[in-house]
Amino acid sequence: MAVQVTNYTCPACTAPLQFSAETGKLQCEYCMSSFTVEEIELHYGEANAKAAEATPDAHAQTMYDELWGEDADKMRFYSCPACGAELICDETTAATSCPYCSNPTVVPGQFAGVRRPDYVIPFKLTKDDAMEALKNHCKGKVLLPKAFRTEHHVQEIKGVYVPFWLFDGEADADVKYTATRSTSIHRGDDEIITTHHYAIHRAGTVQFHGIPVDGSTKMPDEYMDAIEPYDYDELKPFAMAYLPGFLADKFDVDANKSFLRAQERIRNSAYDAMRDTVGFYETLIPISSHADISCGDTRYALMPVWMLNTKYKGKDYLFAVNGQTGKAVGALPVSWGRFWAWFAGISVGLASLASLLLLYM
Amino acid sequence: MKKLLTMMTVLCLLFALRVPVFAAETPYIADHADLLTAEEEASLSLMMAEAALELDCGVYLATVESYLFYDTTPQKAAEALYIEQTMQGNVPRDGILLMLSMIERDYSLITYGEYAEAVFTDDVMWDMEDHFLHYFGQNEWYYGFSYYISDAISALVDFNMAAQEQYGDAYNGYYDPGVPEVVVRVNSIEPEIWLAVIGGSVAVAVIVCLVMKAGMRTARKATHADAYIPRGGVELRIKQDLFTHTTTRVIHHPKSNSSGGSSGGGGFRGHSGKF
Repeated sequence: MAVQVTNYTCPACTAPLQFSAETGKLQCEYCMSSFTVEEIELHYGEANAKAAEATPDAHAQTMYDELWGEDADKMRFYSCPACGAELICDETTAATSCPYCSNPTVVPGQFAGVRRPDYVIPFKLTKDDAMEALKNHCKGKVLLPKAFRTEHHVQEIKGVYVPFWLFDGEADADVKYTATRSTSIHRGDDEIITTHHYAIHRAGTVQFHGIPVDGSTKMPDEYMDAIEPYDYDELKPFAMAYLPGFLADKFDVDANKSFLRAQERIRNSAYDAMRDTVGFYETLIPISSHADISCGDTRYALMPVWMLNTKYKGKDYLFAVNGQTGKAVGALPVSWGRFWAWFAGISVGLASLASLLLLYM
Repeated sequence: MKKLLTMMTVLCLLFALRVPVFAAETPYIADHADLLTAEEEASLSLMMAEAALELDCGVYLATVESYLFYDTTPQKAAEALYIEQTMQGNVPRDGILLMLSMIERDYSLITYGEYAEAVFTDDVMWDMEDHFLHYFGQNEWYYGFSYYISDAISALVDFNMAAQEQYGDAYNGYYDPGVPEVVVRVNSIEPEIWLAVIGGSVAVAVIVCLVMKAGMRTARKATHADAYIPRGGVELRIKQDLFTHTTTRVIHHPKSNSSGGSSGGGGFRGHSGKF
């Protein structure tokens, strides 16, 4: 049976290789050898090419179709080249690890042809750094239940390469405003306010470069937006050797659909850019606005994200940490006991202070 | 030797007992124009000291050759003298001061502090002026000052008695600078104000708590792409600011009723005139 997946193992001792965020190289945990991305790409180039061309086992697929029914369409079934174990993955899974022998596994076929990413930003934060970032994220949150800090499983955090579309674009914006400036003088008991009215017109083009939109339905959009920005100076040409040790998915939302999300951001920023060219007025009210948006270069890149899904009192809480910058976002549970305690404390404290001031004013 | 020792003992006793002959040193009278004899000053000082002790309000007097040595107007000069006299320590902060400027024959009658302002209303001050100006017009300085002091003491006594009648036990007797001011309002806050205080505190607490709660959820969809505009990425082809027209609005602010007194700066209030 043709093998569709590649295990990245150490050329020296065949132990699993993992990409190290600290060193930027692939590291063997057993013999401590380290290899550059280029060395491993060269070493596994042929294997990856073969795996990309390999076709699924039709017999096995039929068997799973009977077992799983309709769900089988969204699943892919591979065999681990190291231990022969069955790997059952999502149809978009591009990198994972064998649950039996823990060998990092890459599915080169997910990156074949037009599906090959143009760039990748390698992980810069280690797992420990990401766990620290999450702990810091919880600090200072006075409404956070105490039990949550101890009960949620930070150790289960996973590094994921998320597929992103990076759009260049241009907006041709045309905005009109009415504006006023006033002066005031006093004559006797009268205040005379003179208001000058203006018609403001701004039109021009605004360029955008590299607006990221995640191309995966598995990743919540608000989380991927919130961990921006990434430093594009660290974009590297894509190589599969960056993936071992992490999860990765290919895109399942195409560029055209993704660009619709970018359009709204482009429009709002274009209007703001026009507004910023208007000088000081006391009032500035837009009366008409229009923007023609065009899409320029589109690039497909994999971005590093540390993800943690944790449960607390039966509810799921998701956290994401930018694997390059360390910015952490997430939804934290609210302790209603603490909420009402703070409410009571603030209202009683303020009322007491105001009463004292009133009594002795 | 014996005589010398006796004299020294007497002098020491006099200093210790603070005999009124040295009352020229008190902060209540600053007779720079030398209108009063030592005995007259002592007698007046005694009355003023009693008012300060019993009624907790300073009654001060100052005479100067010209107010111009102190400030540009009689009232400002009186304020400066008031500050000078009350800084000598151990005298009430609130009080009333009468200043005579001899060359210009200008006087200024000022009060300082909310207590003194409450006691010495414009009507009271006009009545006092009627009394002492009669004597100053005839250059009867001692009598004029005596009437000024006794009128001031009467006004203070009347005020305290009226407050005692109105507030009973709630009135603490005499004005005490250590006690918060405006004794007449110590127990009187309208229910609407209490409601506003409670409502305002609750509203602030709600806002603060909701802001803290919003901070627990940090994942939000991006609405802008400002960070992705490169330098020089904005090019304007139309930039027009056209003036269209002017509108004018007149707001009438009616003046509030004035009692005729003029407010000085920093808590002073007073009248000025010629004698």
